[in-house]
Formats: sequence, C-alpha cells, structure tokens
Amino acid sequence: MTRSSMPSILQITTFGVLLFMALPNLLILVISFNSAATLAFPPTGLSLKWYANVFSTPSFAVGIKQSLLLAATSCAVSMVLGVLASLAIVRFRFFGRQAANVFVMAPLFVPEIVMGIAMLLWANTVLFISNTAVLVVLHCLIVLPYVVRLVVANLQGMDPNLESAAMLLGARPHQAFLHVTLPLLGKGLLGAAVFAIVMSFHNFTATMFLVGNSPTLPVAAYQYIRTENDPTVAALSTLTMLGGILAVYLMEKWIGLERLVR
Amino acid sequence: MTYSLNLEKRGVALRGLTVDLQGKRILDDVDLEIEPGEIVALLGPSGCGKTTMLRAIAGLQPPLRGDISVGGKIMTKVPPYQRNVGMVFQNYALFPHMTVADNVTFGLRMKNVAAARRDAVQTASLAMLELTALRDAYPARLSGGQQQRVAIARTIATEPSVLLLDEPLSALDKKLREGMRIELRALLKKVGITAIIVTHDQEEALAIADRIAVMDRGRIAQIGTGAELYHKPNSRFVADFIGYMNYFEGTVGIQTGGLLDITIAPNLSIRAPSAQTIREGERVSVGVRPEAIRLAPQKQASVPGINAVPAQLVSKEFLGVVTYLRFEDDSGIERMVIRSGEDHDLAVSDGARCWLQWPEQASIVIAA
Repeated sequence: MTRSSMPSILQITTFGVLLFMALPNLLILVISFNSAATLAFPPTGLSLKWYANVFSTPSFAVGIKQSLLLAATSCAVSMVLGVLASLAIVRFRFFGRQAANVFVMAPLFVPEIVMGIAMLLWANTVLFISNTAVLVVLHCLIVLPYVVRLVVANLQGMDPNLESAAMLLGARPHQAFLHVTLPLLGKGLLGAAVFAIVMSFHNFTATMFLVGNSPTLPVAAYQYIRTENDPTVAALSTLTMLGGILAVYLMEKWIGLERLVR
Repeated sequence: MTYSLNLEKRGVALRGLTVDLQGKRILDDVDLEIEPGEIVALLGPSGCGKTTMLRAIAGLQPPLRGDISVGGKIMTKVPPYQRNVGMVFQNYALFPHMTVADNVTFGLRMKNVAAARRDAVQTASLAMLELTALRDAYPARLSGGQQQRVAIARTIATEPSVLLLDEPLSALDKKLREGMRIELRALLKKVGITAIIVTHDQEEALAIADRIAVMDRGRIAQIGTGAELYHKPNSRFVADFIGYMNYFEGTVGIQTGGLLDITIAPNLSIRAPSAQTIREGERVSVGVRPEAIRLAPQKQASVPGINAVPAQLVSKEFLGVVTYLRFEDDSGIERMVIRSGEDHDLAVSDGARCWLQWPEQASIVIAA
C-alpha cells in the first residue's frame, strides 16, 4: 500500500484547530518570560523575574490560600450533596425526578453575573451574613451540576443488579452502598472531585461580587492588572495552566478522561 | 477442616400474587406451589411476567396483592436482605472489584459470620462448583460458564432456602448453552436446593426443570411435567409453546364411547377423546403432533381407531435424525409431519397426494 507523505486535509485541519485552541495560551506563556515590564509581543528579552514576582506579591499568596480553601470546601460539600442527588435521580422513581434533575443542572444556564449579584443581595440585604459564607454556597451551586453530571453518568453505567445481588446476599442497603456501589463509583468520584476543584478554583465572574479584603486568586490577578502592566499575571497564568495540565494528566493516567466526558 | 453446606430444602408458595408496574398489570392473581427440592421453570415469551415473578419472590419487587411464602413462612413484607432467598442474575452481577473468593464470601461478611466458619464455607462452596483454582481471579477474566458457577457459589454460600435463576444460560454462547443445560440440572440436584428458573427457551425448560409453568400475559397458563404439557396441553398457547402442533378446526357431532366425532370438512370427520364436557355443535380445535402422523397412499377403509385426512406433499426437509414433511390439505392449510430415520413414509414424492393418518387417541381436543 502506498501512502502519500503529504499531510492529509484531515491532518491539516486537526492541527489548525488544535493550534487555534492553544495559541492564546501559548502567547501568555511567551509573554511571561519577557524581560520588559509590559504585556507586549514579541518579547524584547528573556527573564524569570515575573515568576519571582508572583511569589513575592502578597495578594497572590492570600489569593491562592483563599481559592484553595474555597475549592476544597465547595468540593467537599457538593460531593456529598451531589452523590446523594445522583443516587436519587438514577436509582429511585419518584414524582418530580426529572424536575429535580433539571433543577440541579440549572446553575449551568444562569448567567454568572446574575448569580453573583443575587448572592450579594441575599448576603447583605436579607440574611446579613458574611460574604465568605455566601461565597461557599455560591461555589457549591456552580460546581454541583458538574459533580451530578459525572456521578449520574457513572451510576447509569453501573449495573443496578449489583446492588440487588448484594442485598439478596444479606447486605442491608447502606452496606450494599458502602461495599459495592461506592468502590465501583470510586474513580468516577475522584474525577468529579477534581472537576469540582478546578471549576471552583478558576471561577471569576460570580466570585468577583462577593470577595472582600481577601480575594480569590483570579480576582487578585484581575485587581493586579488593573494597576500594573507587567507580565506577572502572565507568569501566574502560566503556573495555573501548568497546574491544570498536571490535573488533566493525572486524571487521564488514573481514570481515563473518556470516563469523565461520557 | 471440612464443612458441608447446610442447605435445607424448602417449598415455595404463591397465593394470588398480583404485581402492577407503572399502571400495567404484570402478574395477575398467580397461584403456584413448589415442592421442597423441586426445580420449576417459568417458561413464556418476553413480557409474560416471569422475571417479575422471580423479582417478587426475591423481594426486589413488592406485590400489589397476594402472598409469597417460603418453607411455610410468609415472606411478602420481609426485605430482600432478610429473606434468605438466593438469586443468580441473567448477567450474573458478580462484583467486578472483588476476587472469586471475595465474591463467594460477600454474603457471610455482610452477616458478620466468624472468620473460621467463613473460610470453611468458602472452601466448601468453591470446591462444590470446581472453582478452587480460580479463587484469586477477578470476574472479568472468567469465561461465561465460570462466571455462572461463581454466581451460584456466591449464592449457595449464604445457604439460601431457595435459589432463583433468571435466564441463567442466555449469557453463554449457543454451543456452550446446550451442554450447560444438563450440567446445570445435575448441579442443582447435587446441591439439592429448591430452584426456580426463568427461561424463554422451551428446550432449556424441558432439560433442566422437574415441572414447567408456562406463563402467558401475567398468568400461569398451565403447569406440569414436560410430557404432560406436550401431550395434554390445555390451550393452543401451551401447545404452541412446546413443540409444533397441527390443528384441525371443526364442529362437534355425536359422542360415542368417550370419543367425539368432529366434522372438519364436508364429508370428512375425525374422532378424538373428549377431555372436558363439550357440547354438540360446539367449535373446537383438534391438535395432532407432527410425529404422530403416518402416511398412507390410499384411505384404508375405516380402520378402527385411526383418523385419516387427505393432503398433498409440498416439501421435504432432510435434517439427519428426522425429516420434516410439509403438506397442504384441501383448504390450503399447512400440515407438518415429522418422520425419523429410514421410515418408508419418506418415499413419498413432492406433489404426491396421500392420506395423513394418526390414532384417534393421539388427537388432543382444545377449546377453540
């Protein structure tokens, strides 16, 4: 069989699309090494000083701590709620089951600005509670659809007879869940948790309305570029991108990404 | 240390069992009595309610009305994990994250059985199902037949009072399936457990079960041994479900000496033993099994005890052990005759007209 050494149209198109998706980020990567104190292209010299600057800027340190704390909390809360909701949606037949499914998914379709403002109003004019508490609730809402989607997909892929079999062998419902459902859901749950953390970590639009003196990392970055024009934010972005790539790599290695997007 | 499983044979009884699913009646007032140690097959087309009946006995499907009792104890309200009813699922439902040995001891671990006894039961169950060599394997690595044995071992390790099997052979490939029928029956008898098996395959039911309950639209149409169902079907549904049946429709005439005279065409009547009370003038179907029919070139003038109907040979299908001969009678209805081996009846040539003859006693009257 002879095969032309010329790249096929499919290959060219594929490469073009991938380049199109990656190019903006590649630009950030290049700019982050620019020695000049401007967000400009092409770079005039090479330097790592903006990376040093990332670690010496106090608002970023606060931001990372805030964002991680928020991500961990909303991940934990939404995982518990999400797994319970998914079990109800997949395993039980009740009035309003479809409605519940749609309702859990609803935050995906509400503009984040609306969610941010709504939460701000609740915090300050109705409940009079701290913005931080409301921020946790907000992030749970944002993250929950992703958790539920993934857990539902994994549950639907699981044979319901496994739980029945466990119960007929003498397992009470909670034992069947603990010894059969949960271990089999394991990888799917890990994937959902990673997704929750990533979605919470990089949320900006809705979060912006509720942060006070201790901003999250994306808000801190935004506040930084409002006053400074140097590539520090590009360096920060490159670092978070690296974190993202690492997360994707680990998920692919441990779970297989196709399980997540099923 | 050797341990033998303590399997007590218990009977199962269903009384007026009625199940609705999403507003549809799936089981309709079913009564069924199963003897201790008996193997009963629930046979019927898909949607007849056989799997629902199994799930109801297991406690996975709550009935609308009626009672289920096992060993004389009413179980209707007992949850599945306290019923002590074992079930082998159609796809076996083995726990994929556990080894064969862990699958087998799952039930004992859930019931907090002491480790020493657990190990003994595990050893005994694995040995009984010839799985000892596979104890550390994961289910995904096993063949269909091995998975089935693990499913049975896992179930009997909990010493259930009755074993339910849902289409146990359907997950196996066709070649393996036929051999496994006899093996499964031998296995169930060796274990010595009361078993209810669901199948849509009549041969499977005949090969495995002591008695067969033929189900039709949520009811048991007839229950009996294979021979009873084959030779004394109470309806066309049962007659058609097990084997092939030729039907002759006619009007009942006079009755003499326990034999009904049935007119099936002008100047043509056959005789059949009357089972129920059937009145003169009533329309009935007379069933005749294809292997009961012999061929004759001429009508032998009134041979006593023999029915004769003219027909024309359409096709001959040689299948080795048997040959299928398809006839058409004068009104164009297909008649099937099955003859075996070197039968001289097979000498008939295509298109030839001859007489189909069978003993009057081999005619089965079925209400039309």
